[in-house]
Amino acid sequence: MKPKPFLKLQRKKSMFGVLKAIAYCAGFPLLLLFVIAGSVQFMHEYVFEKTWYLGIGIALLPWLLTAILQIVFNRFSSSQYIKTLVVAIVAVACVLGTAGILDLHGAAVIEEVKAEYEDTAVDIPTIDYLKGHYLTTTKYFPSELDGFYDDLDEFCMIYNVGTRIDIRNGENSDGTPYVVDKKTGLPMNPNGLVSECFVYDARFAIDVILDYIESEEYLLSHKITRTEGGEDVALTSEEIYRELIALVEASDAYTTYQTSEEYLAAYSKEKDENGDYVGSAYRVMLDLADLDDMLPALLRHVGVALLNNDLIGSLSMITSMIKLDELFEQASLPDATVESLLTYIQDTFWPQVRSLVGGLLPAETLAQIEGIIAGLQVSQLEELLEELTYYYSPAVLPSFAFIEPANIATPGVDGSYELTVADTTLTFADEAEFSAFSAELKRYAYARYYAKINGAYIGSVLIPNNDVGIGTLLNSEGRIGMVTLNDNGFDNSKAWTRDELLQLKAELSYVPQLFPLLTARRFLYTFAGMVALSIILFYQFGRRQDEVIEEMCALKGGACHE
Amino acid sequence: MSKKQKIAATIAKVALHVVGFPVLFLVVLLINLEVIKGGISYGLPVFVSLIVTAVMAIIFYATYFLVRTKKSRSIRNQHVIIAIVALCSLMGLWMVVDAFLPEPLETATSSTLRWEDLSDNWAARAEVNEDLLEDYITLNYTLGRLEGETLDTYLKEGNSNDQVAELLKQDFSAIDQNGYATFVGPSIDYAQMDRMTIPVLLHLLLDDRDDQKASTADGLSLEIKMPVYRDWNGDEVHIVRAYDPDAGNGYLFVDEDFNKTSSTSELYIVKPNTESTKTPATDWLAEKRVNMGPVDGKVNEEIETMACATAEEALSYLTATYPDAVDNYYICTYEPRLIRWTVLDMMGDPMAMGLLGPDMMELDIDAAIAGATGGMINLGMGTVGDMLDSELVQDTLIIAGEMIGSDDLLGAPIYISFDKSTGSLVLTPSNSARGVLGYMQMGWLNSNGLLYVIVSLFSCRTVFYIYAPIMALIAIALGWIREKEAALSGGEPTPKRSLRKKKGEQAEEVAETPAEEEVLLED
Repeated sequence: MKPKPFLKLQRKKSMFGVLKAIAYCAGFPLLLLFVIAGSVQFMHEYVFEKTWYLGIGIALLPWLLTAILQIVFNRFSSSQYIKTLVVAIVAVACVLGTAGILDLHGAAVIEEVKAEYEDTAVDIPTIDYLKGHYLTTTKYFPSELDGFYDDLDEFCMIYNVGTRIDIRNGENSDGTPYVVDKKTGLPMNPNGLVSECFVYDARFAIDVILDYIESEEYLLSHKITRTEGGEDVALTSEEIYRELIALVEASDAYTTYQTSEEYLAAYSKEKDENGDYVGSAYRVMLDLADLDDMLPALLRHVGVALLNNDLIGSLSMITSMIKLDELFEQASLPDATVESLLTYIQDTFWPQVRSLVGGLLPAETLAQIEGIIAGLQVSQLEELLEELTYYYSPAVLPSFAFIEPANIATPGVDGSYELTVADTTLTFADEAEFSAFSAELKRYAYARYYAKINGAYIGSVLIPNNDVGIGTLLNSEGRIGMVTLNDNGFDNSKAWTRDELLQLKAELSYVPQLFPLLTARRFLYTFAGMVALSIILFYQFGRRQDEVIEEMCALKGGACHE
Repeated sequence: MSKKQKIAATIAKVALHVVGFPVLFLVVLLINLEVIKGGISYGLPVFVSLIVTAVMAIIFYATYFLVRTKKSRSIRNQHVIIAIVALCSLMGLWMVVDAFLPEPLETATSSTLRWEDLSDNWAARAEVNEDLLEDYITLNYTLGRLEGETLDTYLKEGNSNDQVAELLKQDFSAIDQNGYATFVGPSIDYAQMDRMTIPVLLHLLLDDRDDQKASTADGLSLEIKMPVYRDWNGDEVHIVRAYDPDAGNGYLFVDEDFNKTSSTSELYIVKPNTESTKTPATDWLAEKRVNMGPVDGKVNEEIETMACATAEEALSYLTATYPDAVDNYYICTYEPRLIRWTVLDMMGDPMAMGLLGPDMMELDIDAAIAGATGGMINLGMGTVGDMLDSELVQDTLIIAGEMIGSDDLLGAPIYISFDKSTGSLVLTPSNSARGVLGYMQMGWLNSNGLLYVIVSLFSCRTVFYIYAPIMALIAIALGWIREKEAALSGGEPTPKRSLRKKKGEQAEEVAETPAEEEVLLED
């Protein structure tokens, strides 16, 4: 026969076991589950890469503290009621305390950001507003997070930058390795510049553009002009920079540096047995030696292709009329160089062509061509090549690293500085004033390099570069962002204003850290009561289970086995 | 237990076993048929899904029989364990893969292969694999780098054909070790991540590269099979179709530096037949070409060909048919050559650069020149687009492309053309001329076996997820039948709950049979 009372008790015991488990799970585990679910949305966003789990970590804290307390009580307290009461109170205190601390922390963070951007148009919501609006709740009212994502995406799209630091390859173009800075995570070259292996992220790009905008504004505020046709014409920031960097490059400090081993290893123009420059930077620049190697061969090939192709009948007439074959023949000579070709063009080829076809062209056009050809100089070509393809050796300090007051001007007897730029003379009352000017110039120089020169290399033009380097040739419209061979970037009218940049910069400074915490905060408050109830029920059901076990033991007619 | 009941139980058990792994195996086989057909030449890798299913079945049945050896465990407990094992093996495997594979997969394949591409769309990936091999074989067959079999045979045999496998291995080593690995700095990365700026291109084309190597560390040669023309004396010659105005000939002979050496208007050539047939065997072509120069701005070339079985046969035909061909013929064969690769070869696809624009292509050259010269010169060229599109300009551009490939320039040809509709300058790399796909595609092809392993593995992902609980239910159902059998035959007890043997809980254990109950209560 089945002992029915015993089986009944058995089922009761099981039921209380299940209820105990349910009660426990409805507390901290459920709280954690909600916080995890709330944090998952941050998980796959690069901008939250290092912070998405903060809320989960915080939510674990009260659970951990309560669990420790429970273990301690299990060992030392025999009173179930005291145990239940104390653990429930402590658990609620831990949960609410953590939430309260998060409130205080959030308020402090927002206050700090507000203070930092006090004098700007940056709009920082209050912490109380953020608590409700950090996530979208209703369909037609986008949250702060949505707004942040929209801004970030737009910025990244326009400037073709990423939302996180992305480093490609282990070494620079000339083989020099970089070192990743532990604090910033940026790959730094030995010369202090950020490596060309770095694909800009939004934070870096914002800082560079802000530096450029602010320092440019400062430089332009000095109203530096040159006189043209009796009128004062204001210099652009690029022109001001070129005037001033020329002074720096002529300074003793820089010219001495140019004779250092470090500098010469990269930029020595001594030639090796192959006629190539010894300097390592020239291995990754297009220089005259490269052209000497390639241009004659290229022209010779073009000659073979053109002259042996009776293209369209009369074209051969033209090529023979202007004696193009002679030019190609000249280029085929084994010792032909760019210089010898230029001399040949100026002294022999052009006079022949002019005598043959000169009469066909309008006098003005002829004079223009004449002027261009006569003006062709190897040194000019060399300068142009250097300007277009200059390589900033990662091991060598760039000239703009030498921008210091002492390398720009010397103080007068009264300690004041006087500086003539173009046709404007600037006066600075003392060294502090001049140092401020020098610092802004240096800030401009670095931002100019990252925004216009390195940006043109990696395909993230941050400031229109139609006046610098390769941009003069290929980005005459001054477009920004993804200016590549198969993409034309964006018109500069899409460029962000200083206020917009500051707004995103401010948001980037608190959103990634704060929002995952707000998720934890929201559920900590929501679950505080539930946690208390779950603990009370947990102990209550535990007690009931123990009672049933006692009854079962009694039914079996003896004490329970321990 | 009656005989009827026994039969019914046996039928039910057999049915459940059949619905289990045999059906799963069949389902996996069915959804993998296309993959298996496409990649059969890779052998074992395409059967990975079936192998994994078989391994799962072995785990299931090993557990099934092992747990039964422990008689102290109740039937219900035994089958709960089997169900858990089925869940863990079928579902657990994929939960682990889903959780931990995405990032490493993306990193290991340099973002060329992602978990997202495979999880549900693995069939598309298998098609890509199949198409790649087909493209590669067709291209090389057309170029004559694969000879001796018909195209169908090569396609059918795929990677299991020694010739194909060897060619692929050589080509990948060449483009990898002598190409990709020689680029210094981040420029090659930028080119691949859609950041091909002019400075990046200049760096990639002009920077010093790491030493070109002749062979890999394991001694594999990096030379690849290239077409070479040799004259009747066995000397190597370079022939280009280009007009020599001095002699009025349509074919030029040039030296390695593309200096003109001589020219001719008639060529007698023996070369591999790119459209050969097996029966009758027509692997070689005897060819007579005549080009006296352009007529009315168009190439005026006459070609006579005869398909032959062997090179010797083709040569005999040539010299017998054309007396001028005696000691005046050229033979094209594929010989290994160490060659350079440019960045465009790495990309594999033509690159268009907006240069002239549609308006410029519509510009009437004749009108412009007539305007500039007061009507003195009329070249009859038409628009810029017409001129660039003419065969003669195209020929010139092809020669220019080859010349770019000479050692004193870039070392690998870049073919130049213009897109008439957009006015874009199109730079086409040497890949298709050399019979090699882009670096990434070659990389995929080279590890196509591994890709098939991955694709095949992913093909059973969803099926395993769906089937895991089904297998668990089957395990439970089998247990239920066994319990019933035991109960009816009076052997094994059929407890309502599991018999837990936790410390201090022995007293709670309850059995439904009076005998066991007594024992427990006495305890």
